[in-house]
Amino acid sequence: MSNRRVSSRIILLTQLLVLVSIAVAWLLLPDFHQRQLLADVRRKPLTTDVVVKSTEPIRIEPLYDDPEVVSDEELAAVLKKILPRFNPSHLRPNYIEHALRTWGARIEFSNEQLMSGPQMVEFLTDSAKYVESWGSEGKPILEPNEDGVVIRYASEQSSSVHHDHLLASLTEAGVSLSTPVLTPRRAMTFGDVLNQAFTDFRLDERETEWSVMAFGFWLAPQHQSAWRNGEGREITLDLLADRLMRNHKKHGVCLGTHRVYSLTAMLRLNETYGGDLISPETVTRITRHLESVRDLIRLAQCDDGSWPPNWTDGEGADSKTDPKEKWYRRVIATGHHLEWLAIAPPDLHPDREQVRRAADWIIQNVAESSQSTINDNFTFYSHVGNGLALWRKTTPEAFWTKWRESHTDAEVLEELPEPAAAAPGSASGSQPEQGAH
Amino acid sequence: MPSVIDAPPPESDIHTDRQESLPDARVLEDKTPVWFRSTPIGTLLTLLIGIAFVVLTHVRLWHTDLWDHIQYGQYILDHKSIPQTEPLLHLAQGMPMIDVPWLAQIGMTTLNNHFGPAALQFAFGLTIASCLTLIAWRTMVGSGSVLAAMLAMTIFFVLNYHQLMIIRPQLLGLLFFCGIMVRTFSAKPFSRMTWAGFPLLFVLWANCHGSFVIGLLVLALNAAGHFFDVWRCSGSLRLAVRDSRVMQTALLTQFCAVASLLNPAGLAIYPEVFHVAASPNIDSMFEWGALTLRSSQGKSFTALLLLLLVVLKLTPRRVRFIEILPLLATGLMTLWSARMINWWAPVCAIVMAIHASAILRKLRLSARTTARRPATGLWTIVSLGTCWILFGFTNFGTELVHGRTTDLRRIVSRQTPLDLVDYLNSATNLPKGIAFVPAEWAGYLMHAGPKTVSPMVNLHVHLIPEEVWNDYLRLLQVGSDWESTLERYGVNLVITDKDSQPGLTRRMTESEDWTRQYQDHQCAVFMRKAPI
Repeated sequence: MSNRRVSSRIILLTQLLVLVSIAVAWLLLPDFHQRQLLADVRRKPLTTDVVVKSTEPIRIEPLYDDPEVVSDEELAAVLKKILPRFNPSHLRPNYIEHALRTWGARIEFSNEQLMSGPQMVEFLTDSAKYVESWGSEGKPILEPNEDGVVIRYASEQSSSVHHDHLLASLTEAGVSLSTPVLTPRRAMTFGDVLNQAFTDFRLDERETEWSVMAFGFWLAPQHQSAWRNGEGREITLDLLADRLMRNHKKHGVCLGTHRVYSLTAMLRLNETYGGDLISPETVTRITRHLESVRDLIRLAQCDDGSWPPNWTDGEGADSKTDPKEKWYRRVIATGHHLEWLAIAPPDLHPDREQVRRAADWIIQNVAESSQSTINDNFTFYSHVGNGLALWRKTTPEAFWTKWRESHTDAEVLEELPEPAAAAPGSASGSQPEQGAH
Repeated sequence: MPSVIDAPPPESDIHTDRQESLPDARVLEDKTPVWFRSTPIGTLLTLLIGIAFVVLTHVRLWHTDLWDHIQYGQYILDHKSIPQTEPLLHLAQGMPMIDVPWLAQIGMTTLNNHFGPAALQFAFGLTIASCLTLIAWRTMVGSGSVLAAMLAMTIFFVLNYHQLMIIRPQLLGLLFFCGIMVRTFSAKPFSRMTWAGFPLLFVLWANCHGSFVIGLLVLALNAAGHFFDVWRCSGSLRLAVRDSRVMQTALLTQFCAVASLLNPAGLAIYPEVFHVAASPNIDSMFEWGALTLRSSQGKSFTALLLLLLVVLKLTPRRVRFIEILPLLATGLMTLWSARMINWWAPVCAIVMAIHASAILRKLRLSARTTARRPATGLWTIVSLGTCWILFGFTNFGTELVHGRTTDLRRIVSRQTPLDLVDYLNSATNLPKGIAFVPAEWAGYLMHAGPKTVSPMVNLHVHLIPEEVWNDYLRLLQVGSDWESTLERYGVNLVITDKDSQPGLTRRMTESEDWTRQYQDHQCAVFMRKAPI
């Protein structure tokens, strides 16, 4: 072509070619890239591609009903001490989350001092209720953004303490996705919280225990094992399992025991929902991992039946215990191990006798601890109550509802003094330590 | 009758006799095609560039990016598909990946697999030599001076030295960029070859390296430059808008932009180029950082920029917008990110050399050299012969012609962890799982080392999760939580670079939880006593 003038026809044809090419290129783009491109153009974050079909969460059924681990009376005594009795002022979201996952979203109590399930749900899902409790001293934990709602988590008492712990707790409590979530700016639903969690989840963040569990509960029924987060990363349940297993066992919240629980839950979900949620290799790896946990606690159990905080040391762990160990860490280790064992297949158990001894220790500990001590360490003891209930193939809600029918004074509670100062060595009132609630 | 004692005939008679007995070469016609002919200047430049080429083919292969790219290329060849998520690193599983340079990766891998690393050296030298050739040719045509051509090549090499020494797909991008520059600086109308060749070039470019967007930018700036040049000369906006060259260049840019869509990612390739640069992990890569005077690149840039300004001030030639705009754009990009000097260098080299030549000519210190001697086929044959001789001096040439394989240790950079890989391959007790390996070595280790060792990161940092990369950096800096960080990743094997990670090496040596299994002048290998 020489330097002759370019005709308008050629210019127009070229523009048409460009437009058609872009249109064809757009149509040929995979869905993910289209969404990514639109997000870039709109300068908005990419949203998740998950669509959760069921609005009701599932449960993992416990496997054992062993009265020799815990009798009815013992269970009732433990549960009585972890009834959700909280001072309405400065309610700690972390406590409510634990109470909710223990007692469920539907329980009602005859004693007005006790928070019912719906009240607990309301506190966590309605910013107005939060503000009623905290006034200007706490920032609402529900933070809406453009597309969803983020749960604020931090180490202070006015926050949810762990990432996606609120999500997991509401899920385990049986809260429906259509449950309203009222933020300071607009009304959303629990489904929006879940979607935001899917979007925000990053595989390599510090705490993934509760995210993994919650995601498993919602994805398993629809046989979905992968999704893309807000970075576009493809997250699979295999990757989640790998993430929980790649570190030293001592790492993770509550002395690494929550990861064990989440891995056990994944195994159970996979088994229940067709066996194709995680690959056979991952099933094998999880099983071997849990077997090694079993072997460690088998060796690490102390003479009194408790499991020490350094249970990952295995044999001789008790002799290697830190002499300045805080007493409640033993409650954490023992209670949490009992809890995951209750949903684990029998070949992942130490001897049943060891389980009974651990249960005996914890039951005695609860009996001997004052109510104020237990209140100050409610989160740890909530796992104890839930774990023991699971060992009776029931839930605290189901058991208690039935128990109080024949025990009319069940909800008669001792008078407590004014909100006590933190008991010596308790975790209450202090910043949660590394690895603890 | 003459006798032996007779005086010999005069020399002129001898000469005449000889002339009468030999054929007169001056009557020979050069029947080689016109396109085959070249000038002595061409041969001289061939020799100079050829020498540079030979030297470059002996440059040791830099140990960083190369092996990462070869690994990706090998993956594509093995799986016969281009990965959609990061396929090599355990900790980067699921990370979305648009493998823009897939074609270059396949090329590098194929060369290495079939001909060995000497072939990579050869390709490396050839690519840079081709860039030099294009720059020299453009400068020669623009200035008529071989000295200017040599100046341009020198400027280009000095400015771009650090970028050139790393063998990676970017070099191909640079070659294509030089090709674009050569054509766009020319005033000749676009031929059919240009209309067909440019889009094809961009198809190739978009499948070899993400720098094709810079090529598009330069084309667009060329159109704008012509517009402003015409406007300045004519004073008429209407004329400028309707100028045929402006319109043709704009249309060509569009064709090339559309042609670039012919790649596996399609339209997604465009945002991907910006995603890479915008990755938060890139901030920690020094070559992506802003250009500063602290670096040698920064010093070179500043010195040549000042020189350029002087030259442009003194030049008797009109400084055109088609020169100013790419200079400005690539210059600003370079200030933003040092790595962009790659694109400023050829522009600066050509512009400065042409205008410097004009200054010298004005001062009668130089003269046009291009029209001195006629082009003949003989000089081309001499050039080809020179090429063949020089080819024999390359490692690859030696291997092909003489069958002598060059020792790998003489081909790869001294920083390539050869001894380490030998040790790892012979070790029988290597723990499986994630290993802490310096990112610069990860590629080679994955290429030549045992498959059971899975590096934490490699140098494709935009594909690594931000948390993982930050934890890797913290380990390099031996943060106070270095031990728990290693535990969190389940690392049972740590390899440290003694030169660049002395702190970590020392801590590992002192640690009671680790035992040193191997060390040499370059590295130390530690294993956890009680594996996780």
